[in-house]
Order: sequence, then structure tokens, then C-alpha cells
Amino acid sequence: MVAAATAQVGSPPVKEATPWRRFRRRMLSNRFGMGALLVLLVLVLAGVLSPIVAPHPPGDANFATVFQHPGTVGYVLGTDNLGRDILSRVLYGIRASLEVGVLAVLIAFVIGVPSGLLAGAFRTADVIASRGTDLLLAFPFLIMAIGVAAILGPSLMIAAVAIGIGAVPSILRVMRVETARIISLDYVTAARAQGAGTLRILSHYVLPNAASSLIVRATVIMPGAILGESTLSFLGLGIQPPMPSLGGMLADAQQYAEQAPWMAVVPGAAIVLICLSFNTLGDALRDALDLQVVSRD
Amino acid sequence: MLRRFLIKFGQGLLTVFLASIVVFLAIRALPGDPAETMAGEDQNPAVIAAIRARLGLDKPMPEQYLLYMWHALHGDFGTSISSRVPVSTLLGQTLPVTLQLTVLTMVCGGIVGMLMGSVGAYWRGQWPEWLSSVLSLVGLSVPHFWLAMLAIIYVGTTMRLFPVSGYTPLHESLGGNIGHLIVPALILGSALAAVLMRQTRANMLDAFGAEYILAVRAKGASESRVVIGHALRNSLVVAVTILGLELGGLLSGAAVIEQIFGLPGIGRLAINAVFSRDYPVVQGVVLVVAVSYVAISLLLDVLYTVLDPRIRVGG
Repeated sequence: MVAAATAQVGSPPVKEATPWRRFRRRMLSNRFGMGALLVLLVLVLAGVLSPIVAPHPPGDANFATVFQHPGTVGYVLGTDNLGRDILSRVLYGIRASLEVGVLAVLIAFVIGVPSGLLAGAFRTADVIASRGTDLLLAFPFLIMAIGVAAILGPSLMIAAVAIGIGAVPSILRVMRVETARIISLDYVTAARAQGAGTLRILSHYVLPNAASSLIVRATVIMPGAILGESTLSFLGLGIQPPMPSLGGMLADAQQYAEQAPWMAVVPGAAIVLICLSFNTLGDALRDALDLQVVSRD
Repeated sequence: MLRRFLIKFGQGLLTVFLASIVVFLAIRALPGDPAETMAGEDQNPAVIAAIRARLGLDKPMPEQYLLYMWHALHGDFGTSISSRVPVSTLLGQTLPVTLQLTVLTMVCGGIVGMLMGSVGAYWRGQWPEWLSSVLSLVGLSVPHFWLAMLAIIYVGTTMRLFPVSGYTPLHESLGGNIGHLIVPALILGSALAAVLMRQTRANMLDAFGAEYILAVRAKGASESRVVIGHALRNSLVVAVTILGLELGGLLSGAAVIEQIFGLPGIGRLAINAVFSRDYPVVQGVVLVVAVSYVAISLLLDVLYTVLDPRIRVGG
């Protein structure tokens, strides 16, 4: 972003030089990034449209068709121990995983962005925020999720809330560092000299300039949240049956590993595909936006 | 340096104190009265009142908290409701397993991650770099429990390469202990290795372009000395920071891995305790995990200071 800002000020108004153009050119030329974007679009569409595109209702048990191999006519990815179509269940599972991922990221942003802004701008808020993140980090996410699920009962929403809260420190840190960095730049001092208040500086100067870091961070949190959801559902603490979830399908598959290995392979591969696409897209965005390598904390 | 350590120590104590209050309140927000659960079939009000009095549940909340903490400081975390065993005994049995798993994971993940990261940076633009990028992306994208499942089903059970379940204590047999823990540690360490791989590669690339490496090369140092003695050494500091940041995730992951591999660790204890509403156990586990987390972070912080002289001198 520093490079982008100086390029804007320093170079003559050549068409090629705007940050957006450069970002678009770099992004379009990144084959892996574009591939990941394409896969993600397909997965999101498949998930959102799962009630329409799924060949069978996901809960439809049929004891005449149990343990069909993948490739069977009508059951492309095979069937499970109850004769349910695995493709349909995976499509619904992808939808549920994406829902939890999006909800968790939203929750992390709603709490993490304002507190990170305050922590970066005010000394007192910084002290409170860093003690708060220490406290959150001292409760490993799973232990916290288990506790919340025990108090309120397991569900998709509870899983999303627990995962979202667990991701707050990550957003808060990025926001705090970005705020402290941007607030000390000359053009913010200039704005202040013109009479802009702290609130205006935070909302009109800091937030837009931190957007790219936040977007990249979201692409890192998303796969983490989806892995977390699948873990919770696997343990029986996330999405509850009969609602299909990728983690829940894997829990079922444990018993039938020898008879029906595809029951264990297909949902797991779906999780890997979603997460791999997000991680690859995140890398491509980071390269195109010229951000430094950030760890996955 | 001492001042820095004392500040960190004080912050750690504060975190543990706040954590204990959160846990105490959260446990009391759980539905169901433990006294009624313990009274069993016989829901005699007098019996319930007696149990409440014995557990100290009839006292005001702040007093209950102080009593709990007082006892906890003396190693008494109450008694498990389901097994009637003192919670301290359960913790004493399970904590070593989890700590061993976590340490072994850090070692495995650390070695694999830093090695692959260095390899990727050294052979930049060639196939080793490509391999290390792909491996790190995959490592970040694969659910641990799925890897564990596949490992048990297709490698453990079919090929019988490693024991798929159970645990041998360290004092009985070192080989048996590592034999039971190595596969869980490798699986749990995959994400850690992936994160370290990326960070190490980035740091090493920076280092190879830096002037001090040019100076070392000009001095005629051997290639291995340049890479290991200088470039990698500076990456160690960042690696230790990352270990600290990944610690919470590691402890979470340990719970799932323990559950799948049948390791009698603290995570498994916690999951089972939540399902059976065994609140003294949950409270004890969370408190001990929070204390361990703070203690390990503090330890890593000290290590960090030792590794990076700039911090040591700067105070």
C-alpha cells in the first residue's frame, strides 16, 4: 500500500500506473490465483444452488441402494450406509461449511475491526485490547467451542459464533498494526491539520487503506473457519444431523472404512478443495496487492 | 531484560486470573444443578441441600470463587462428578500425555517446516521451491482429523506400520512412548510445518539478499555455514514467535487427535467431561490449559530473548 500511495503521488498520470490497474494485471496473470477463483465460484454456486442442482434429496435413505460405488448410474460419487447420495450430501455440506465460514468471518470483523482501530489509535484501548486477546488466546478455540456448545447446545450458529470469536485476535492484530502505521503517515497529519477529527481520520483515512490487508486476512480466516466447523461437526458439536455436513459425513464414514472407503475420501477431499482454493486465492491477492507475507496467527 | 520478563510474567498472571473468573462464571451458567445431578434418583430436598452445602454451592458467588481458587492453589480442584476421582488426579494423569504430544509436535513440525522452508528458499525458482509451496498450501488446507482417519484406516490397520490406539507412558518404554505419539504428532504438526515453511522461506529469501550474507560469503565461509549458521539462525527468532502464536491451535488440535488415536490426554478428558456435564473436571481442565498456555508463551518469550540479542540489549 505504501508503494501504491507513492506511485500515485510520484509518477505522472500514465494509465498503466494506477494501483487498481496494476492489481488487475497482476491478478489476471496469476494462473493459480485465477484457477482458485474459478474453483471457488463453482463451489459457491454449487453450494448456494444445492437444493436445485443436487440430484437427490440429501436425507433420502434408500435401503435398496446402500454402498453403491462411485460411478454408479444416478449416483456419481456413490452412496453411504443408508443409501443416501453422497454427491447431494456433499453439495449441501459445502453450503453449510461456507455459511459457517462467512458467518464466522463476519463476527470476527464486527468485533475485531472496531477494537483494532481503537487499539491502534488510543493507548488505553491498546492495553485493554491486548489483555483481551491474551485472554481469548488462553482458551484454545476448540475448548471454547466445546464449552459454548455445552452451554447453548450444538448448532450451526453456535459453531460460527465460537469460531468467529476465536478469530477475533487475528483481525484485531492486523487492524491495530495497520491503524498505527497509517495514522503516522504524512497525509493523515495533513488531514488533521485541516481540522479532521479522530473519528473522521479512522473512518475516512485508516479504514479504506487497511481494506486490502483485511481482505487478505479474511481469505486466511475462511479456510481456518471451515476446518474448525468440520472438526466440530466431526466431534458431534457442530452442525447436527439430519442436516448434512462434511465433518458429520466423515464421522459416519469411520465405521464403514473397509466397505466404503469413498465415504471417507469424498467429503474430506471436498474440505481440502475449498480450503486449498481459499488459501491459493489469498496468496494471489497478497502478491497482487504487494503485501508482506503474514503468518496465519 | 529482567524488567521485560517481569512485565510479561505479570501480564501472564493477569491473564490466568481473568481466565479463572471467565471459567468460573461460564460453568455456573451451564444448565442443570450439579447437586441435583449428584443426588441421583432420590430428589429429597434435604439431601440436595446437604450436597449443596458440602460443595459450597449455598455460599455467595464471590466467596465460592475465592474458596475454589484457594483450594486450586493447594492442588485441590474438587472431585469428578462422574468418576468420583479427584480432578487433580485426572489432571496429573492426562496433562503429561498432552504435553508430550505438544512438544513432539513442535519438534516434528518445527524441523520439517524449517527444513522445507530453507530448501525452498535455497533452490528458488526450481522444483524444490515449487514442492515446498504446494506442500505448505496443502498442509494449511487438510483437516487433521481426516488425515488421522486415513492414516489409521489405510496405514495403521491395513499395513500395521504403527499402533493405531493407546499410549505407553514415558517411564515404561521410551520407544513405545514415541511409537504411540509420533504419527499423531506428525499429523498435528502438518499445519505448524506449513506455516513455518512459508515464513522460513520468506525470511531466508530476505537473508540471501542481505548484505551480511554477502559479507559472510566474501569471507569464504562454506555454503553450509552460510545457510545454517547465518541465514537459518536469523529465521529461528521468527520461528519461535510463530510457535507461540500457533500454540492455542496446537492445544485445540491435540484434543481432536487424542480423541481419534485414543490417547488419554487432557483434550480427550475435556471433551468427555463436557458431554457428561462433569463441571469440576471442565473447570479444572480449562484452568490448567490456560495456565499451561501462559507458561509456555512465557518460556518461548525467554527463548526469543536469548535468540535475538537485539531484544536482550534493548531491554
